[in-house]
Amino acid sequence: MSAFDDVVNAAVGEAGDIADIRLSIARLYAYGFDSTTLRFWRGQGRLFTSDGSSWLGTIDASGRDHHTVPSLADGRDGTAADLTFALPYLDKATFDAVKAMHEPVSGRLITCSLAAVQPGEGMRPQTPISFFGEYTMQSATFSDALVRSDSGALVRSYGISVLAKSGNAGRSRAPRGTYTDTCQQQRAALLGVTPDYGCGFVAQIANETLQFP
Amino acid sequence: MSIAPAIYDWPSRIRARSGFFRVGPEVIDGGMTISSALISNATPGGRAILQAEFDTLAACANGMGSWLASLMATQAVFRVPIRVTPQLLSGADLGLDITAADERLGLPFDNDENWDNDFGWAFDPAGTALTGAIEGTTVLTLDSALDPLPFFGKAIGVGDCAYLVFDAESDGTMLTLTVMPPLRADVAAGDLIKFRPTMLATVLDPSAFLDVFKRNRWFQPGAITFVEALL
Repeated sequence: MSAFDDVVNAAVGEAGDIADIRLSIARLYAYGFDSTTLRFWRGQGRLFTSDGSSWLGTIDASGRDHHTVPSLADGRDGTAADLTFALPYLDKATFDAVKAMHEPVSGRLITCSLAAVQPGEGMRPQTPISFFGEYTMQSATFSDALVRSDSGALVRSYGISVLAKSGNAGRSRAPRGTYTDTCQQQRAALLGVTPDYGCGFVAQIANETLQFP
Repeated sequence: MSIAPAIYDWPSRIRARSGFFRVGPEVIDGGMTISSALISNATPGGRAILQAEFDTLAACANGMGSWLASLMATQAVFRVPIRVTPQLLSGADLGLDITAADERLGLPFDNDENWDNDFGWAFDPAGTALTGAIEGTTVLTLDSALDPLPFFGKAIGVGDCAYLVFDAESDGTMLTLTVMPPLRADVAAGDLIKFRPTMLATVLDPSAFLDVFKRNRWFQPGAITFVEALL
Protein backbone atom coordinates (compact mmCIF):
# COMPACT_ATOMS: atom_id res chain seq x y z
CA MET A 1 0.00 0.00 0.00
CA SER A 2 1.26 3.44 -0.85
CA ALA A 3 1.32 6.31 1.60
CA PHE A 4 -1.54 7.83 -0.41
CA ASP A 5 -3.72 4.75 0.12
CA ASP A 6 -2.87 4.72 3.81
CA VAL A 7 -4.00 8.34 4.16
CA VAL A 8 -7.23 7.68 2.28
CA ASN A 9 -7.93 4.55 4.32
CA ALA A 10 -7.18 6.37 7.55
CA ALA A 11 -9.61 9.12 6.56
CA VAL A 12 -12.36 6.82 5.36
CA GLY A 13 -11.85 3.66 7.38
CA GLU A 14 -13.38 4.54 10.72
CA ALA A 15 -15.83 7.13 9.44
CA GLY A 16 -19.40 6.25 10.24
CA ASP A 17 -20.84 9.01 8.11
CA ILE A 18 -19.67 10.65 4.94
CA ALA A 19 -19.64 14.02 6.70
CA ASP A 20 -16.91 12.71 9.02
CA ILE A 21 -14.42 12.36 6.19
CA ARG A 22 -12.12 15.35 6.25
CA LEU A 23 -9.95 14.74 3.23
CA SER A 24 -9.85 16.39 -0.16
CA ILE A 25 -8.48 14.70 -3.23
CA ALA A 26 -7.02 17.06 -5.80
CA ARG A 27 -6.65 16.05 -9.42
CA LEU A 28 -3.31 16.83 -11.01
CA TYR A 29 -2.37 16.85 -14.68
CA ALA A 30 1.20 17.14 -15.97
CA TYR A 31 1.81 17.77 -19.67
CA GLY A 32 5.31 16.62 -20.50
CA PHE A 33 6.06 18.89 -23.42
CA ASP A 34 9.47 18.82 -24.99
CA SER A 35 11.04 21.81 -23.32
CA THR A 36 8.85 22.15 -20.27
CA THR A 37 6.27 20.35 -18.18
CA LEU A 38 3.04 22.25 -17.67
CA ARG A 39 1.38 21.28 -14.40
CA PHE A 40 -2.25 22.00 -13.65
CA TRP A 41 -4.61 21.05 -10.85
CA ARG A 42 -8.35 21.33 -10.68
CA GLY A 43 -8.70 24.12 -8.16
CA GLN A 44 -7.75 27.69 -7.37
CA GLY A 45 -4.27 29.00 -6.65
CA ARG A 46 -0.94 27.24 -6.64
CA LEU A 47 -0.72 23.78 -5.10
CA PHE A 48 2.65 22.49 -3.91
CA THR A 49 3.24 18.74 -3.70
CA SER A 50 5.86 16.96 -1.64
CA ASP A 51 8.01 16.20 -4.69
CA GLY A 52 8.73 19.92 -4.99
CA SER A 53 6.42 20.57 -7.95
CA SER A 54 3.99 23.45 -8.07
CA TRP A 55 0.68 23.10 -9.88
CA LEU A 56 -1.30 25.92 -11.39
CA GLY A 57 -4.99 26.09 -10.46
CA THR A 58 -7.21 26.28 -13.53
CA ILE A 59 -10.44 27.54 -11.94
CA ASP A 60 -10.92 31.28 -12.29
CA ALA A 61 -12.60 33.77 -9.98
CA SER A 62 -16.05 33.05 -11.39
CA GLY A 63 -15.68 29.30 -10.81
CA ARG A 64 -15.08 28.36 -14.42
CA ASP A 65 -12.52 25.66 -15.12
CA HIS A 66 -10.31 26.64 -18.04
CA HIS A 67 -8.84 23.18 -18.31
CA THR A 68 -11.11 20.77 -20.13
CA VAL A 69 -10.46 17.17 -19.26
CA PRO A 70 -12.38 14.30 -20.82
CA SER A 71 -13.65 11.41 -18.77
CA LEU A 72 -10.58 9.32 -18.28
CA ALA A 73 -11.36 5.84 -19.52
CA ASP A 74 -10.02 2.71 -17.91
CA GLY A 75 -8.12 0.83 -20.61
CA ARG A 76 -8.90 -2.63 -19.23
CA ASP A 77 -11.80 -3.04 -21.62
CA GLY A 78 -9.25 -2.97 -24.41
CA THR A 79 -10.35 0.32 -25.95
CA ALA A 80 -8.13 3.28 -26.62
CA ALA A 81 -10.51 6.19 -26.63
CA ASP A 82 -9.61 9.54 -28.12
CA LEU A 83 -9.16 11.95 -25.25
CA THR A 84 -9.11 15.64 -26.01
CA PHE A 85 -7.64 17.92 -23.37
CA ALA A 86 -8.05 21.69 -23.71
CA LEU A 87 -5.38 23.67 -21.96
CA PRO A 88 -5.93 27.06 -20.34
CA TYR A 89 -4.30 30.10 -21.86
CA LEU A 90 -1.27 31.10 -19.84
CA ASP A 91 0.27 33.89 -21.84
CA LYS A 92 1.30 34.65 -25.39
CA ALA A 93 4.88 33.48 -24.91
CA THR A 94 3.87 30.06 -23.57
CA PHE A 95 1.23 29.71 -26.26
CA ASP A 96 3.78 30.49 -28.96
CA ALA A 97 6.38 28.20 -27.42
CA VAL A 98 4.00 25.24 -27.23
CA LYS A 99 2.79 25.98 -30.75
CA ALA A 100 6.35 26.17 -32.07
CA MET A 101 7.12 22.72 -30.67
CA HIS A 102 4.06 21.17 -32.24
CA GLU A 103 6.07 18.25 -33.56
CA PRO A 104 7.51 17.01 -30.25
CA VAL A 105 4.00 16.86 -28.78
CA SER A 106 3.50 13.51 -30.50
CA GLY A 107 4.58 10.71 -28.20
CA ARG A 108 4.88 12.90 -25.11
CA LEU A 109 2.99 11.93 -21.99
CA ILE A 110 0.15 13.40 -19.99
CA THR A 111 0.43 12.09 -16.45
CA CYS A 112 -2.63 12.26 -14.21
CA SER A 113 -2.18 11.99 -10.47
CA LEU A 114 -4.11 12.46 -7.26
CA ALA A 115 -3.06 14.40 -4.20
CA ALA A 116 -4.56 13.86 -0.76
CA VAL A 117 -4.93 17.18 1.04
CA GLN A 118 -5.57 16.79 4.76
CA PRO A 119 -7.14 19.48 6.93
CA GLY A 120 -4.58 22.07 7.96
CA GLU A 121 -2.22 21.32 5.12
CA GLY A 122 -3.40 24.30 3.10
CA MET A 123 -1.95 24.08 -0.38
CA ARG A 124 0.99 21.90 0.62
CA PRO A 125 -0.13 18.28 0.90
CA GLN A 126 2.61 16.23 2.57
CA THR A 127 1.47 12.82 1.29
CA PRO A 128 3.26 11.78 -1.91
CA ILE A 129 0.97 12.05 -4.92
CA SER A 130 -0.54 8.91 -6.36
CA PHE A 131 -0.29 7.90 -10.01
CA PHE A 132 -3.69 7.66 -11.66
CA GLY A 133 -3.16 7.36 -15.38
CA GLU A 134 -0.88 8.09 -18.27
CA TYR A 135 -1.84 9.08 -21.77
CA THR A 136 0.22 9.59 -24.89
CA MET A 137 -0.23 12.81 -26.80
CA GLN A 138 -0.88 12.33 -30.50
CA SER A 139 -1.18 15.87 -31.76
CA ALA A 140 -2.07 19.37 -30.73
CA THR A 141 -4.30 21.95 -32.36
CA PHE A 142 -4.09 25.65 -31.80
CA SER A 143 -6.71 28.31 -32.23
CA ASP A 144 -6.22 32.03 -32.21
CA ALA A 145 -9.31 34.07 -32.96
CA LEU A 146 -11.06 37.34 -32.31
CA VAL A 147 -14.44 36.74 -30.74
CA ARG A 148 -17.11 39.12 -29.56
CA SER A 149 -17.86 38.69 -25.88
CA ASP A 150 -21.27 39.07 -24.22
CA SER A 151 -20.43 42.62 -23.24
CA GLY A 152 -19.81 43.50 -26.87
CA ALA A 153 -16.05 43.80 -26.59
CA LEU A 154 -13.76 42.11 -29.05
CA VAL A 155 -11.59 39.62 -27.25
CA ARG A 156 -8.67 37.71 -28.64
CA SER A 157 -9.11 34.11 -27.65
CA TYR A 158 -6.39 31.49 -27.65
CA GLY A 159 -6.84 27.78 -27.26
CA ILE A 160 -4.72 24.66 -27.20
CA SER A 161 -6.26 21.21 -27.59
CA VAL A 162 -4.29 18.05 -27.21
CA LEU A 163 -5.45 14.71 -28.57
CA ALA A 164 -4.24 11.80 -26.47
CA LYS A 165 -4.56 8.02 -26.38
CA SER A 166 -4.09 5.46 -23.65
CA GLY A 167 -1.49 2.72 -23.81
CA ASN A 168 -3.93 0.51 -25.71
CA ALA A 169 -3.48 2.54 -28.88
CA GLY A 170 -2.10 0.42 -31.70
CA ARG A 171 -2.32 -2.84 -29.79
CA SER A 172 -4.44 -4.46 -32.49
CA ARG A 173 -1.56 -4.24 -34.92
CA ALA A 174 0.30 -7.56 -35.02
CA PRO A 175 4.08 -7.37 -34.92
CA ARG A 176 5.43 -7.42 -38.45
CA GLY A 177 1.86 -7.34 -39.63
CA THR A 178 2.82 -6.11 -43.07
CA TYR A 179 0.38 -7.16 -45.75
CA THR A 180 2.74 -8.91 -48.17
CA ASP A 181 3.06 -12.40 -49.70
CA THR A 182 6.08 -13.23 -47.54
CA CYS A 183 4.37 -12.21 -44.33
CA GLN A 184 1.17 -14.04 -45.21
CA GLN A 185 3.12 -17.25 -45.95
CA GLN A 186 4.85 -16.93 -42.58
CA ARG A 187 1.64 -16.27 -40.66
CA ALA A 188 -0.12 -19.16 -42.39
CA ALA A 189 2.81 -21.47 -41.59
CA LEU A 190 2.30 -20.74 -37.91
CA LEU A 191 -1.20 -22.11 -38.28
CA GLY A 192 -0.03 -25.12 -40.25
CA VAL A 193 -1.17 -23.94 -43.68
CA THR A 194 1.62 -24.26 -46.18
CA PRO A 195 1.74 -22.78 -48.71
CA ASP A 196 -0.77 -19.95 -48.62
CA TYR A 197 -1.01 -18.01 -51.87
CA GLY A 198 -3.65 -15.63 -50.55
CA CYS A 199 -1.39 -12.64 -50.95
CA GLY A 200 0.47 -13.87 -53.99
CA PHE A 201 -0.70 -10.95 -56.11
CA VAL A 202 -0.12 -8.27 -53.49
CA ALA A 203 2.62 -6.00 -54.69
CA GLN A 204 5.97 -6.72 -53.14
CA ILE A 205 7.46 -4.04 -50.94
CA ALA A 206 10.25 -2.53 -53.01
CA ASN A 207 13.80 -3.17 -51.83
CA GLU A 208 12.65 -4.78 -48.61
CA THR A 209 14.18 -7.91 -47.14
CA LEU A 210 12.09 -9.56 -44.50
CA GLN A 211 13.85 -12.08 -42.34
CA PHE A 212 12.11 -14.13 -39.71
CA PRO A 213 13.94 -15.71 -36.82
CA MET B 1 7.12 34.79 -18.97
CA SER B 2 3.79 35.21 -17.28
CA ILE B 3 1.23 37.94 -17.55
CA ALA B 4 1.71 40.84 -15.14
CA PRO B 5 -1.52 42.85 -15.10
CA ALA B 6 -1.69 46.48 -14.06
CA ILE B 7 -2.91 46.95 -10.49
CA TYR B 8 -5.16 49.93 -9.80
CA ASP B 9 -5.50 51.38 -6.30
CA TRP B 10 -9.15 51.58 -5.34
CA PRO B 11 -9.83 55.33 -4.97
CA SER B 12 -10.32 56.48 -1.39
CA ARG B 13 -13.03 58.84 -2.64
CA ILE B 14 -15.31 55.88 -3.35
CA ARG B 15 -15.57 54.23 0.04
CA ALA B 16 -17.72 51.23 0.76
CA ARG B 17 -20.59 51.91 3.14
CA SER B 18 -20.51 48.34 4.40
CA GLY B 19 -18.76 45.16 3.51
CA PHE B 20 -18.47 41.52 4.35
CA PHE B 21 -15.29 39.52 4.00
CA ARG B 22 -15.33 35.76 3.59
CA VAL B 23 -13.40 32.89 2.10
CA GLY B 24 -15.06 30.83 -0.57
CA PRO B 25 -13.61 27.50 -1.55
CA GLU B 26 -15.07 25.67 -4.49
CA VAL B 27 -17.24 22.76 -3.41
CA ILE B 28 -17.95 19.49 -5.12
CA ASP B 29 -20.81 17.14 -4.42
CA GLY B 30 -19.83 14.69 -1.76
CA GLY B 31 -22.83 12.36 -1.95
CA MET B 32 -25.91 11.72 0.13
CA THR B 33 -26.11 10.56 3.70
CA ILE B 34 -28.52 7.81 4.72
CA SER B 35 -30.94 10.51 5.82
CA SER B 36 -30.73 12.18 2.41
CA ALA B 37 -28.63 15.18 3.30
CA LEU B 38 -26.41 16.24 0.43
CA ILE B 39 -22.87 16.70 1.62
CA SER B 40 -20.49 18.98 -0.24
CA ASN B 41 -16.74 18.69 -0.07
CA ALA B 42 -14.68 21.84 -0.14
CA THR B 43 -11.66 21.74 -2.40
CA PRO B 44 -8.39 22.93 -0.90
CA GLY B 45 -7.66 26.61 -0.96
CA GLY B 46 -10.37 28.90 -2.24
CA ARG B 47 -10.37 32.64 -2.65
CA ALA B 48 -10.94 35.62 -0.44
CA ILE B 49 -14.20 37.42 -1.26
CA LEU B 50 -15.35 40.89 -0.24
CA GLN B 51 -18.94 41.97 -0.74
CA ALA B 52 -19.27 45.75 -0.69
CA GLU B 53 -22.08 48.30 -0.77
CA PHE B 54 -21.69 51.98 -1.53
CA ASP B 55 -23.33 55.25 -0.68
CA THR B 56 -24.45 57.72 -3.28
CA LEU B 57 -21.35 59.33 -4.70
CA ALA B 58 -20.62 63.00 -4.23
CA ALA B 59 -20.88 64.95 -7.46
CA CYS B 60 -17.12 65.33 -7.61
CA ALA B 61 -16.70 61.53 -7.58
CA ASN B 62 -19.03 60.81 -10.50
CA GLY B 63 -16.21 60.81 -13.01
CA MET B 64 -14.23 58.43 -10.89
CA GLY B 65 -17.28 56.18 -10.62
CA SER B 66 -17.63 55.86 -14.36
CA TRP B 67 -13.88 55.34 -14.70
CA LEU B 68 -14.13 52.49 -12.19
CA ALA B 69 -17.15 50.98 -13.94
CA SER B 70 -15.25 50.90 -17.22
CA LEU B 71 -12.15 49.41 -15.65
CA MET B 72 -13.91 46.68 -13.73
CA ALA B 73 -15.70 45.54 -16.88
CA THR B 74 -12.29 44.66 -18.30
CA GLN B 75 -11.51 42.46 -15.29
CA ALA B 76 -8.96 44.97 -14.06
CA VAL B 77 -7.14 44.11 -10.83
CA PHE B 78 -7.72 46.53 -7.94
CA ARG B 79 -5.89 46.94 -4.66
CA VAL B 80 -8.92 47.17 -2.39
CA PRO B 81 -8.70 48.33 1.22
CA ILE B 82 -10.91 46.37 3.62
CA ARG B 83 -12.06 49.08 5.98
CA VAL B 84 -15.79 48.97 6.62
CA THR B 85 -16.72 45.58 7.96
CA PRO B 86 -17.37 44.26 11.46
CA GLN B 87 -14.70 41.67 10.80
CA LEU B 88 -11.88 44.09 11.53
CA LEU B 89 -10.15 43.97 14.90
CA SER B 90 -11.09 47.05 16.90
CA GLY B 91 -8.65 49.16 18.85
CA ALA B 92 -10.05 47.64 22.04
CA ASP B 93 -9.41 44.11 20.70
CA LEU B 94 -5.81 45.14 20.15
CA GLY B 95 -5.50 46.70 23.60
CA LEU B 96 -5.29 50.24 22.21
CA ASP B 97 -6.79 53.31 23.81
CA ILE B 98 -8.70 54.77 20.86
CA THR B 99 -12.29 55.84 20.36
CA ALA B 100 -14.56 54.22 17.80
CA ALA B 101 -14.92 57.56 16.02
CA ASP B 102 -11.16 57.93 15.68
CA GLU B 103 -10.92 54.41 14.31
CA ARG B 104 -13.44 55.27 11.64
CA LEU B 105 -12.48 58.83 10.77
CA GLY B 106 -8.80 58.73 11.59
CA LEU B 107 -6.61 60.02 14.38
CA PRO B 108 -6.48 63.83 14.78
CA PHE B 109 -3.39 65.95 15.20
CA ASP B 110 -2.13 66.81 18.70
CA ASN B 111 -4.41 69.86 18.75
CA ASP B 112 -7.45 67.64 18.01
CA GLU B 113 -7.76 69.08 14.51
CA ASN B 114 -8.27 66.95 11.43
CA TRP B 115 -7.19 67.48 7.85
CA ASP B 116 -9.23 69.89 5.72
CA ASN B 117 -11.48 67.06 4.53
CA ASP B 118 -12.44 66.33 8.16
CA PHE B 119 -10.54 63.06 8.21
CA GLY B 120 -7.60 62.39 10.51
CA TRP B 121 -4.62 60.09 10.08
CA ALA B 122 -5.85 56.68 9.05
CA PHE B 123 -5.94 54.12 11.87
CA ASP B 124 -3.74 51.38 10.48
CA PRO B 125 -2.67 48.97 13.24
CA ALA B 126 -0.32 46.08 12.55
CA GLY B 127 1.54 43.35 14.38
CA THR B 128 4.76 41.48 13.66
CA ALA B 129 5.19 37.91 12.46
CA LEU B 130 7.26 36.00 15.00
CA THR B 131 8.31 33.19 12.69
CA GLY B 132 8.39 32.71 8.95
CA ALA B 133 5.82 30.73 6.98
CA ILE B 134 5.96 29.52 3.40
CA GLU B 135 3.44 29.99 0.63
CA GLY B 136 0.62 27.49 0.73
CA THR B 137 0.65 26.91 4.50
CA THR B 138 -2.04 28.18 6.86
CA VAL B 139 -0.36 29.11 10.14
CA LEU B 140 0.93 32.55 11.10
CA THR B 141 2.51 33.41 14.42
CA LEU B 142 2.11 36.86 15.91
CA ASP B 143 4.39 38.42 18.48
CA SER B 144 1.65 39.35 20.89
CA ALA B 145 0.24 38.54 24.33
CA LEU B 146 -3.28 39.56 23.29
CA ASP B 147 -6.39 37.54 24.04
CA PRO B 148 -6.93 35.16 21.07
CA LEU B 149 -10.73 35.20 21.35
CA PRO B 150 -11.42 38.41 19.34
CA PHE B 151 -9.28 37.12 16.47
CA PHE B 152 -11.74 34.40 15.42
CA GLY B 153 -13.37 35.24 12.10
CA LYS B 154 -11.46 38.48 11.69
CA ALA B 155 -9.66 39.72 8.60
CA ILE B 156 -5.92 40.19 8.69
CA GLY B 157 -3.43 40.74 5.92
CA VAL B 158 0.16 40.34 4.85
CA GLY B 159 1.35 42.41 1.95
CA ASP B 160 -1.55 42.78 -0.47
CA CYS B 161 -3.26 39.56 0.57
CA ALA B 162 -6.12 39.30 3.03
CA TYR B 163 -6.92 36.26 5.14
CA LEU B 164 -9.68 35.20 7.48
CA VAL B 165 -8.67 33.84 10.89
CA PHE B 166 -10.17 30.39 11.38
CA ASP B 167 -8.43 29.53 14.62
CA ALA B 168 -6.40 31.40 17.20
CA GLU B 169 -4.38 30.13 20.14
CA SER B 170 -2.12 31.85 22.61
CA ASP B 171 0.69 30.65 24.85
CA GLY B 172 0.94 33.98 26.64
CA THR B 173 3.65 35.52 24.45
CA MET B 174 2.73 34.32 20.98
CA LEU B 175 -0.52 34.13 19.05
CA THR B 176 -0.84 31.26 16.59
CA LEU B 177 -3.36 32.08 13.88
CA THR B 178 -4.72 29.56 11.39
CA VAL B 179 -5.87 31.42 8.30
CA MET B 180 -7.77 30.78 5.10
CA PRO B 181 -7.14 30.97 2.22
CA PRO B 182 -3.63 29.51 2.54
CA LEU B 183 -0.79 32.03 2.41
CA ARG B 184 -0.30 33.40 -1.10
CA ALA B 185 3.33 34.32 -0.53
CA ASP B 186 6.15 33.51 1.85
CA VAL B 187 6.08 35.41 5.15
CA ALA B 188 9.36 36.19 6.89
CA ALA B 189 9.87 36.68 10.61
CA GLY B 190 9.40 40.37 11.31
CA ASP B 191 6.96 40.97 8.44
CA LEU B 192 3.99 43.17 9.23
CA ILE B 193 0.66 41.48 9.85
CA LYS B 194 -1.90 44.14 9.05
CA PHE B 195 -5.18 44.48 10.91
CA ARG B 196 -6.53 46.80 8.22
CA PRO B 197 -5.75 44.57 5.25
CA THR B 198 -5.87 45.21 1.54
CA MET B 199 -6.55 42.63 -1.14
CA LEU B 200 -5.89 42.35 -4.85
CA ALA B 201 -9.20 41.61 -6.48
CA THR B 202 -11.28 41.65 -9.61
CA VAL B 203 -14.97 42.45 -9.61
CA LEU B 204 -17.15 39.40 -10.13
CA ASP B 205 -20.26 41.29 -11.22
CA PRO B 206 -19.17 44.57 -12.82
CA SER B 207 -22.58 45.24 -14.32
CA ALA B 208 -24.06 45.40 -10.79
CA PHE B 209 -21.97 48.49 -10.11
CA LEU B 210 -24.05 50.39 -12.67
CA ASP B 211 -27.30 48.84 -11.53
CA VAL B 212 -28.76 51.85 -9.80
CA PHE B 213 -27.90 54.91 -11.83
CA LYS B 214 -29.95 57.71 -10.39
CA ARG B 215 -31.09 60.74 -12.28
CA ASN B 216 -29.34 64.04 -12.60
CA ARG B 217 -25.89 64.21 -11.15
CA TRP B 218 -26.18 61.52 -8.52
CA PHE B 219 -24.52 58.22 -9.06
CA GLN B 220 -25.44 55.39 -6.74
CA PRO B 221 -23.18 52.37 -7.34
CA GLY B 222 -24.74 48.98 -6.80
CA ALA B 223 -23.40 46.31 -4.47
CA ILE B 224 -20.51 44.35 -5.96
CA THR B 225 -18.42 41.34 -5.07
CA PHE B 226 -14.65 41.51 -5.11
CA VAL B 227 -12.94 38.19 -5.68
CA GLU B 228 -9.28 37.73 -4.87
CA ALA B 229 -7.03 37.92 -7.91
CA LEU B 230 -4.29 35.30 -7.81
CA LEU B 231 -1.31 36.81 -9.59
